[in-house]
Amino acid sequence: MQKRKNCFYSFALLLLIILVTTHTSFADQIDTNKTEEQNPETGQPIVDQNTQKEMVAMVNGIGAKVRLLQLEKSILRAILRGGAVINYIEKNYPEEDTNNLKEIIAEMRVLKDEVAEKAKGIQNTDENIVKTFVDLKNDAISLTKQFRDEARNILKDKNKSGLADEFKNIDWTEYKELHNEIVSLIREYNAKKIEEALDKIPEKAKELSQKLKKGEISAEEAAKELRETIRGLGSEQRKNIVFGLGQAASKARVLQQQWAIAAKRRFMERRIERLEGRLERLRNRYADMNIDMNRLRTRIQERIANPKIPTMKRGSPSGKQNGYGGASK
Amino acid sequence: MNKILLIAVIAIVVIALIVVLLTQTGPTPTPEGSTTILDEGKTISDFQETLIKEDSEMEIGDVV
Repeated sequence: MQKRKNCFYSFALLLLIILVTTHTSFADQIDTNKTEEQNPETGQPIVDQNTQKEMVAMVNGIGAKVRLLQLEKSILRAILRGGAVINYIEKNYPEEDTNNLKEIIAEMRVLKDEVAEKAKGIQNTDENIVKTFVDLKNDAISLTKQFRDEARNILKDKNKSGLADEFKNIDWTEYKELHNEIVSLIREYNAKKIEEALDKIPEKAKELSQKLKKGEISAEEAAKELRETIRGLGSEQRKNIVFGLGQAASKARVLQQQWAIAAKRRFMERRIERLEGRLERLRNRYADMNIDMNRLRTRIQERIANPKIPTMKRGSPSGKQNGYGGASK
Repeated sequence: MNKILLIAVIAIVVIALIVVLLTQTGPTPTPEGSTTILDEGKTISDFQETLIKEDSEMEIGDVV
C-alpha cells in the first residue's frame, strides 16, 4: 500500500516537473517573439486602423507597390513642405537655428529613397514586404512628427502669415509624376480585382477591366456595375460569384490579421537595424546634403539608444542636458 | 500527513495546468466570414473596400 502511494506521489511530481518545464520554454518562446503594440517614438499604434486597411490591398504585387509608392509620395510631400518651412524661417527669422530641421529632412530623403528602392523591386507580395511597409511608414510618421514639433517650437510666438506664400512656391513636378504613376498602378490593380471577381463571366470582366484601365470609370462605379451585373444573373451563377467574393474577402481578412501580428513582432529590433543602416546610407550621401554629419550621427545614435519620443532643443542634437530625449508635447 | 501531501500535490498540478492553459491562449487569426451562407450586399461592399480610390492619400501627418 505504502509502495503504491509513493509511486503515485512520484508520478504526480514528475507531471508537475513536465508542466513547469513546458511552461518555462513556452514563456521563453513568447519572449523571443516579443510583440509591441505602440511605437515609442510616436506614441501611436504600430499598426493603426488606416495601416490595417491599407494592408488589404497588399494581397498582390501591384497593390503592395501602390502602397509603397503612396508612402513615398507622402514622404516627398513632407520633404517639399518641410523645405519651404526651413526657407521661411531662414528668410524671416535668421537668428533661429534650423540645423535640426535640416537633419530631419536629410533623414527623410534617405527614407524616401529606401521606400522607392523597395517599391521598385516588388514583383509579388509576401509578409516581409508588408512588414517593411509598416516599418517605413512608422519611420515616416515619426520623422514628420519630429519636424512638426521642432518647427512649432521655433514658430510658436512668431507671425506665420507668409508661410502659405512659401508653400505656393514649391515645385511639385516630381510629386505630380509620382502621383500619375500611382494612379496608373491603381487602375491596373482595380482592373485585376474586377477580373478576378467576375472570372465566371469573362466578357463582362474584360469590359469593366478595360474601362478601369483607361480611367473611364472609378472604383466606385466599377463596384456599382459589378453589383448590377450580379443582380442580373441566374440564381446558381449569382451564388457562385458571391461565394467566390466571400472566399477572397475571408482570405484577405486572415492575411490582414496575420500580417498585423507579424509587423508588430520584433518591431523594435528591426527599428535598430534600420536606423543603423540609414546612418550608413547618410554617411555615403553626406557630401551632397550640406548638413553636419556628426550632429546627425549623434541624433540617430541617441534615437537608437532611447526610442522615447524625442524633442530637440534648438542648436544641439544631443544629450539630456540639451533637452533631447524628453517627452514630446 | 500523507493525505495533506497528496492534496498539496494535486492542487499544485491543477494550478500549474490552469496557468499553462491560460498562457497558451494566443491571438490566433480565424477565417471570419468563411460560412457558406453569405450576405450578398455585404459581400459586395466588402469587395468594394478592397478596391483603391485614385485620389486616396497615405496619412503620415503634416510638417507644421
